[in-house]
Amino acid sequence: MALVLALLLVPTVAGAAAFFILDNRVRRALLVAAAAVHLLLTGWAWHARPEPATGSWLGIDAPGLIFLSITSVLFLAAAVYAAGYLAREAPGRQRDDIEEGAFFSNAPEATFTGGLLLFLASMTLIHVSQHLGLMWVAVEATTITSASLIYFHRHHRSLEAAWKYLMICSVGIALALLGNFFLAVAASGAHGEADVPMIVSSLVEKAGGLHTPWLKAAFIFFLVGYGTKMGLAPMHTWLPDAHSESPSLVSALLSGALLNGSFLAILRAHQICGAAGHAEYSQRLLLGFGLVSMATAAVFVLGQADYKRLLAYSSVEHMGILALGVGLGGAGRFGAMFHAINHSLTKAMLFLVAGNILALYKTRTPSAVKGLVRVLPVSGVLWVLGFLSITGSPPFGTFLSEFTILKAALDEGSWLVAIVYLLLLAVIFVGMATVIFGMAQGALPKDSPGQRLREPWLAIAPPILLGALVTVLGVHVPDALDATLREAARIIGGSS
Amino acid sequence: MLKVFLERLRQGYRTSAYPLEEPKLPDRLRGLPVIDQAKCASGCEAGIESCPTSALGMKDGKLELDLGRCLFCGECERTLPDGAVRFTPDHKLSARRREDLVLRGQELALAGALEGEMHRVLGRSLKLRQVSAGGCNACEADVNVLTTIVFDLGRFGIQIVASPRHADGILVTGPVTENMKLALEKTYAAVPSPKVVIAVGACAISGGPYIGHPEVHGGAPSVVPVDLFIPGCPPHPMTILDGLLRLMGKIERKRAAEVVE
Amino acid sequence: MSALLRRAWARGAVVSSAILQVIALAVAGTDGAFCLAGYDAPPIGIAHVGATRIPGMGLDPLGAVVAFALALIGIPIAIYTPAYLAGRHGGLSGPVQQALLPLLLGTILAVVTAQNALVLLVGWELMTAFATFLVLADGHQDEVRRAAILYVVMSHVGTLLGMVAVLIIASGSPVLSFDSLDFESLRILGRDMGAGTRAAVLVLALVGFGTKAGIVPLHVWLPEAHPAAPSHISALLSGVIVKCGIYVVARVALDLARPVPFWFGIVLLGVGLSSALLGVLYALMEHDLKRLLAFHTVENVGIIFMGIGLGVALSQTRGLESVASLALAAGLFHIINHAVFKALLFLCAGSVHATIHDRNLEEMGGLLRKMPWTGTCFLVGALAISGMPPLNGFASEWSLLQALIASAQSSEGWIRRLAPLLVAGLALTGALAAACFVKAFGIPFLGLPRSEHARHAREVSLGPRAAQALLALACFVLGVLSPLALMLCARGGEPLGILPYLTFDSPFIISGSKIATTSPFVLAAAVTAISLAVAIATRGSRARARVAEPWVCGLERVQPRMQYTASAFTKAIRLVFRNLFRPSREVEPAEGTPPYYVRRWRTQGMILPVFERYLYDPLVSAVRRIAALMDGWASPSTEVGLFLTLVAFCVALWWAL
Repeated sequence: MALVLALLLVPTVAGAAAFFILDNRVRRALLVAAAAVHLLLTGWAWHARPEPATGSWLGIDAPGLIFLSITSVLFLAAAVYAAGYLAREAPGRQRDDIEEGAFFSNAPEATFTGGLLLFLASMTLIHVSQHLGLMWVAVEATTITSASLIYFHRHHRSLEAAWKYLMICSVGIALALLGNFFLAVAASGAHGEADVPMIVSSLVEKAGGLHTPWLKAAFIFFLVGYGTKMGLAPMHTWLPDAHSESPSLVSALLSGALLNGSFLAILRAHQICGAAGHAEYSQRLLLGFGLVSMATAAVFVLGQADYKRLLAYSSVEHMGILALGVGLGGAGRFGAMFHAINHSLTKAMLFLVAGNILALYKTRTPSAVKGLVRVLPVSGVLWVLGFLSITGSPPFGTFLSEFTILKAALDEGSWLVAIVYLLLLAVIFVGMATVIFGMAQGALPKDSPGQRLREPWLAIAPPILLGALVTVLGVHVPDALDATLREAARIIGGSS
Repeated sequence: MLKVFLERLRQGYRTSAYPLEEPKLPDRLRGLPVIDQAKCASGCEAGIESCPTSALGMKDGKLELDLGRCLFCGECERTLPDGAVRFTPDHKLSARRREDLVLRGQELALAGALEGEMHRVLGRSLKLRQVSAGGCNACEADVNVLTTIVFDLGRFGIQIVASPRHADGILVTGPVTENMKLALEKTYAAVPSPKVVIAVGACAISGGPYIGHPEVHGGAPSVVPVDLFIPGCPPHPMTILDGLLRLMGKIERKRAAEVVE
Repeated sequence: MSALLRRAWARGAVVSSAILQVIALAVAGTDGAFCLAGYDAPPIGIAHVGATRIPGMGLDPLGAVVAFALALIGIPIAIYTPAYLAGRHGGLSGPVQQALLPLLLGTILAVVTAQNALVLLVGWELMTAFATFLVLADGHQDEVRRAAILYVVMSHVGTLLGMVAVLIIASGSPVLSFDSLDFESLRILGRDMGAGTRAAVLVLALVGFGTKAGIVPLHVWLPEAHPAAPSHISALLSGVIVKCGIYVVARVALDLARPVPFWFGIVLLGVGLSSALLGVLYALMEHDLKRLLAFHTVENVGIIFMGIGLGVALSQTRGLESVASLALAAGLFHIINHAVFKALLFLCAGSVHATIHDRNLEEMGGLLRKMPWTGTCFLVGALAISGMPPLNGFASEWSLLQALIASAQSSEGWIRRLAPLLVAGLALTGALAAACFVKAFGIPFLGLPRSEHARHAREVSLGPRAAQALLALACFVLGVLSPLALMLCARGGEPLGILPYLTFDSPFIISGSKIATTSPFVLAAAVTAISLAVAIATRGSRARARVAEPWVCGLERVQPRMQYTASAFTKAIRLVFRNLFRPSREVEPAEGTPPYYVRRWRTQGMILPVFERYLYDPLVSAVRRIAALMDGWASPSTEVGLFLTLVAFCVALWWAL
C-alpha cells in the first residue's frame, strides 16, 4: 500500500514543487529525478507484487502493472528528452512560427514541467485505481493536465487543438460518468440485497447479480466515452490536431501512455461484462470499433501531408488493433496486451525522432524533408526502423503481437475479420512506406544543411533506448513479463 | 492480277526472237555510221566543227569518227559533203576496247566473248549492278526496258541485282560526276572477283556532252577498267542487248560489213 | 592525409567483409553439397556447430539446393563487389553496403534452413528488409526509391497472405508457442485439413510467397527493382532471393500442406507456362539491359515452376514416378543453373554499366573489342540462358522437355491433354529466349560503338573479371556434370514426398522407368564434337576469303547508325505478337526545332504494359481517389467531432438493442 501511495505522491509533490522552483536547470533535474524514482518504484512493484486488498480503492493488479510500467518507462524517456528540449526552447522569448511567419511565445517552463509531473501522477492514479469512480476522476485529471501540455507553443493552432481536445474529451468523459451511474444502478441491490460497491474486484465477484440491461447500457457508455479518450474512431477527431500541434515529447506521452490509460478503463468494463457472462456482447462491440478505427486510419494515412499527423493516425490504427485483439478473445487478449507495450515503445520512439526532424528541418511536410539518413544519420536510421516496427515487421515485438492477434482471428474462424485486418494493415504499410522512405533518402533540397550534423545525446539516447527495448521484446519475451501478460489476459477475460 | 493475265492472253506472244532472227527496227534508227573517205577530199572542216562533242577529227588526212563520243545527233550527216558520213540502221555497235570505237572507214571490231575462266564463270549467268553515275537517265531507261517482255533479259541469264555483293559486274551509265565518283569506286570494290564493267552510253564511255566539265570525270574508264563499251545516246535497247549477248558469247562475231551490204 | 586514411580504411573494410563472406559461403556451400549428396553433415554447417544445433533450424535436401546455389554465386559476387563499389559514387557508402550484405546472406540462409514457421517468417521479412535497404543504395534518385517502395510493399502484402496460409495450418491447435509452429507439428496438423481449407492454404501460399518469386501477374516489382539496384544486388535478387520465394512456396504448399491434391500440380504448370511465355515476350521488347535480364528471371521462374508442377502432378499417378522425379530434378537443377548464369549476366551488365554509365542497349556497341573478357563471359551466359549445349541451361531445360514428352504416357487425362501444349510452350520459350539473347549480346558487344561512352569503354579490373570467369566456368562445369547434378537435385524432392526413382547408369547417363535413357551430357558432347568437326573442316575455305569494307550503298564509310537498333531487330516478333503488345508510336517535332522547317524529330515507340495498366493502376487510382475524397474530412471542427461521437453512440446503442 505504501508503494502505491509512494507511486502517487512522488510525481504529485514533484509537480507541485516544480511551480515554485525558479532555476530552470534544477527544475529539469527534478523532472528527470522524479521520473527515475517513479521507474524504480515501478520496478519494485514488479518484484513485490502487491495484490489489491479486497475492498481497497487502490491496488496494482496484472493489467494495471503492465500499463503502469509502460507509462513509467515512457515518462523517463520523455523526461530525459525534455531536459534537452527545454534547453533548446528558450522560454519567454519571442519565436518564429514556422507555419505562418508570425511570432509566438512558449508557455513558462515551470507550467510545462509541473504539468508533466502532474500528468504522470494522474496517469498513475488510473493504473492503480480499483474503484471505477476514482478511475473516472483520474481520467478527467489526465485530460486537464495534458491540455496544458498541448498548449505549450502559444499560437492559435495549438490553442484550437487544446480546445478541441478539452471539448471532445470532456463530452466523452461525461458519457463515461453516465456509464458509471448506470453501472451503479446495475449494481444496486434488488430485493434488499446490499449494493455492490463500485470496486472492480467486487463487481467481478458479484457479476452474476448485476442487472443485465443496465450493465449493457453502461458498457456502451463506457466504450463510447472512454473510447473518445482512447482514440477509437469515429470519436478520434481530436487526436490528429493534438498530436501535430503539441511538442513531440508530449505527443509521445499522449500516444504511448494516455491512450493506454483510457483503454485500461474500457478493459475494466469489459472484465465486468465478461464476469457477468456477456463477454460476447462486449467483444462484438470492441471488434466493431476496432475495425472502424483501423479503416479510418487507413483512409487518412494515404496521402498524408504532415508526418506528425501520420503518426497520429497510426495511433488510431493501433488502438483499433488493441480493441480488435480484445474483441477476438482467447489468444487475442494476450496479443493485445503485448501489443500495447510494443506500440507504446515504438510510437514514443517515432515521436521523439519526429521532434528531432522538426527541430532541424522546421517543417512538418514530408516532401520538404529529404536525405534524412545523410544529414541526421541516427535519427534517420531510427525513423526507418521505427516505421518497420510500427507496421509489424520482424525483428520487432510488434510483429509477434500482430501475428498473435492474426492467429486468434483464424483460430476463432473469423475469416472475414482476418482478411479485413490484413487488408488494412497492408494499406497502412503502403501509405506510410511512401512517406517514410521519401524522407529518409532522396536528394537533399537546395537550402538544407548538407553535411552530417552532430545530434545531441539527450535527443537521441531516449529513442535509441526505446527502440532497443522493442527489439529485445521481439526476440525474447522475459518469463516474468510473459507470465504477467498471461495473467493480465486472464483477468481481462473476466475471471477473478 | 486477273486483268494482267487477261491482257497477256489478248496480246499473245510478244517477245522478240533476237538473236535467232534479226530485229525489226524503225527505218529512222541512226545506227552504225559509215565513213566514205573519198567524199572528204575537199575539206570537211565545217562538218568537223559541227560535232557537239568533237567526235570527228582529221588524222593523217583521213576523217575519224570516235563512236565513244558520238551522240548520234546527225549534225555531221547534214553538214558534211553528202555521203561522207552516213548513219546506217545497223544496231550492232559494241566493242571490247576503247580504241576499237574509233572509225576510219574500216569495219567496227565488234565485241567478242569473255575468255577462259571468265567465260566459264559468267557465260551462262551474268548478274549486273547498275550504277547511274550522274546521267540524264535515258540510258537507264533503255537498260530497264530490257527486262520487259519484248526483250526479256532474264531468258539469257542476265539479271539486274540490287547489291554489288550479289553481282558479277557493274553496268555504268552517266558521265561519273564528282559526287558519284566515290560511289562508283566503292561499288566496283564491293563486287567479288571475277567481275566485268560495262559502260553504256556516250557519257559513260567518254563523258558525252559533259566532256571537259570540271565536275565530271570523263566517263567510267577514268575510274574503273571497262570490259565492254556500248555507244549511243542513248543506245537502242537492241544495241545494249546485242552487246551483252556478245560479251557472254551467245552471238558469234560477225563482220559488220556483211550487214551493210 | 585523413581523406587518404579514410579511403584506405573504407577499402580495407570492404575487402575484409568480402573475404569473410567468401569463407562463410564456402562453409554453407559445403554443408549444402554434403546434404544433397546424402553424406553426414560437415563439422561446421549453416545451422550447426559440431553437435549443437540452432533451435528451429536444420538443413534438408530441398533447402540445400538453394543454399548451394547461394554459395555458388555468392562467392563470385563477393569477389566482384569491392572493385564495383570503388567505382560508384553517391548513395550508400561501400562499407555500409558491405555491412548490410552479410546480414542479407545470413537471413537468406535462415530462410532455407528454417524448420520452424516462426523462424521462417521472421527470416523472410528480415530478408525483404535487408534486400530493400541494399536496393536503396542509390536512394537519392527518385526512380530507385519508387522501385524499392514497390518491392517492399508487394513483398509485405505477399508475406501477410503467406502468414495467413501458415496460420490456417496452425489453427488446428489453439496453442501458440515457438514449438507449436515447428514444421513437424505443422505437418501433422496439415494432414488433417479439409479439402476446402487445404485449397485455401495452397492458393494463399502460392499467391503470397509467389509474389517474391515473381510469377505473373505478381511480377511487376521485378523489372523495376533490378535496374534500380546495384548490379551485384540484382544478381543476388534474381539469383537467390527469388528462388527463396519458390522454396517457401514449395515448403508451405507441398510439404506442410501434404498431401497435395492433383489440381494444384496443374495450377503450378499453368502458372509456370504463363510466366515463362509472358516473361520472355516482354524481355524481347526491352532495351534496358537490366530490365531485359529481369524479365528473363520471370521466364526462368516459370520454367522452374513447370518442373515442380509436373513433378507434383505426376507423383500422384502410378507408374510415372521416374518422370516425376526427373521433372522435379530438372526444376531444382534449373534453380541452381539460373542462379549461376543470371548472376553471370548481371555481373557483366554491371561491368558494362560501370564503364558506359547507361543501361540502354541503343547506346552501346562494339564492346567486345574494348571489353573482351566481359564480352566473352556475357556470351557464355547468353548461350547458357538460351539453352545451348554443353552449358548448364541446356541440361535442365532439356531434361524438363524430356519429362514433359514422357508425361504424355500418363493415364491421367488432363496431363495427356496438356502435355503437347506444355512441350510447345517450353520450346517456344527457349526459341524466343535465344532470339532475345542474340539481340542482348549482338547489339551491345558486336558492331560499332553507338555513343561516345561506348567508344571509350574500358575493361574492368581483375576482381570483376575473375568473378565473371568463375561463373562462366561454373556454367560449363555444371553442364558437363549435369547427370550427376540431376541425381543430386532429385534428392531435393524427398521432403516433398517425391522420391528419386532415377538411377545412374554411368557418370554420364541417368535413366528411369518409362523414360528413355537420358544424358544431356552425351547429347551436348555429340553436338559439340560435330560443331568442332565442321568448323575445322571448313577452315580451309577461309583462306580464299577477301577482307574488305562493308557495303554501305557507296557512302564514304560505315556509320554506327547504319546498324540494327534493338527495336528494329525485334520488330518482326513485335508484329507477330502485336495483339499482346499493342505497339504504338508517337512522332513529333523535337523540342526547340522550328515548326515550319522541322530539322529533328522525336519518335517514341511503346508497348502496352498490360498488368500495370489493367491490374495495378486501377487499384492505385481507386485508392488515391478514396484518399482524395476523404481530404475534406481531415480536420473536422469541434462541432463535427462532437457530432461524430454522438453518431457513434447512437449506432452502438441501436446495435445493442
